[in-house]
Amino acid sequence: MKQRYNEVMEHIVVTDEMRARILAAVQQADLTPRKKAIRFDQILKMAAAAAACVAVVVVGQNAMPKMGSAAPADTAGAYVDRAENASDSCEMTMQAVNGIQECPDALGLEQAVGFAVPQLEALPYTLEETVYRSYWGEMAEVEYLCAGGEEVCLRKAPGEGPVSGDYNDYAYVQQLTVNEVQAVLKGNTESAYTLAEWQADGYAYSLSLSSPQTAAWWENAIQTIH
Amino acid sequence: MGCIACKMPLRKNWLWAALGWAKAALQSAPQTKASSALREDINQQAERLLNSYGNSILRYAYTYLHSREDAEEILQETLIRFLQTKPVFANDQHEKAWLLRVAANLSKNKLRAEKIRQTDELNEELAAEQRQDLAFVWEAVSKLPERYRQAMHLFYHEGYASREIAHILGRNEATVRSDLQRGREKLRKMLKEEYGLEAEV
Repeated sequence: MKQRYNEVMEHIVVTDEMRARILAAVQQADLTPRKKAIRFDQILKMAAAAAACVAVVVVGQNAMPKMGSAAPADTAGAYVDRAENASDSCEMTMQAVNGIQECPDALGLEQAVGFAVPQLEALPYTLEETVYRSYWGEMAEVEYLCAGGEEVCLRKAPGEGPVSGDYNDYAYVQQLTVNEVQAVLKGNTESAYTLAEWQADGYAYSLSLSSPQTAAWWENAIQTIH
Repeated sequence: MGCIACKMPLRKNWLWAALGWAKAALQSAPQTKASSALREDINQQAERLLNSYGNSILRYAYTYLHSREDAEEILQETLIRFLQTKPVFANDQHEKAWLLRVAANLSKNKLRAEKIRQTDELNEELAAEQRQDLAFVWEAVSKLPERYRQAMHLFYHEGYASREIAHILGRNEATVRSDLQRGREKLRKMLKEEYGLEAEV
């Protein structure tokens, strides 16, 4: 497999013509260092994060003296727990590389993207692990990794999308209306689909499955989201 | 009569202008030399990057975009980002990882902004060469979810370990290991069931 894949990749090479075009374009390019533009909503997010951290410090300062006072032992413990929890949510224990953040939980993801992220209540497979990911603080992804290599991926981002990243041609496409939401179902099996895309309340959504499900399943799934 | 803006007599103003022209004329020759040297330096850096990493970046971008033209655009933009940012690295491996990371992000941005091309040039080429085995492999890999495809490309083609792939893709190492395992399983299943290929994945 590795050998065959590498043979496939050997077809993609930088040709002399390509090299000449790229070098000419680089010479014409503006190479002054890029200044990162900060949008207003990002400023709001940063301000909210700073406010949350200040709140943690204030709460912590108030809690600490009470720990040393004559309060009952269980009450003091409760203060410590609260302070630790608040500190965790501030740091959010995320791994962030190039704006893609893997978040510890749904709350962390919502804090990272700044909007509510829905959860699927019924999965067609046995859930093993859930991965929460923020893309550039703009798009939320919840991935349900299930038994037997099956998976479900839910994405949400402000705007009109599409957000699925799946631009394959599908043999079967069906319109589905659920709670006034117009969704498009796509799949390669008759009457069973692997991808749904829709827009609602100013957000674009996508839900994809590794194995096809009937329109009835999709209807129920979209209903739980809206 | 004098200049209203600077409140100076006109003759004195004219004198300042003449001095400015003379200064500019004296400085223009070394500036031309400097900009020519700068252009040469940029060209050399771009050539070095193309020689060392051009194919890797182009191939990686192709796995996202399925078009040479789009992949070339990503390669060009990646080099420009490098020359703008002028990052400093401990070694060549870090430099390559940085370039691949930038190429991946630019490709993802392009995918979000535009639809991927519906035709895949590689499929057509492999069919023309009558390399059905390779066509099956590429078609099956293309059908894998993006997260598995990218991890598998970096693992198989670039020879990266899961820790390095995690760094490039911005994922946890455990998630990358899981992606590789699931990707392999899916690929093996697909090659067997859809293409009748018993391949060691």
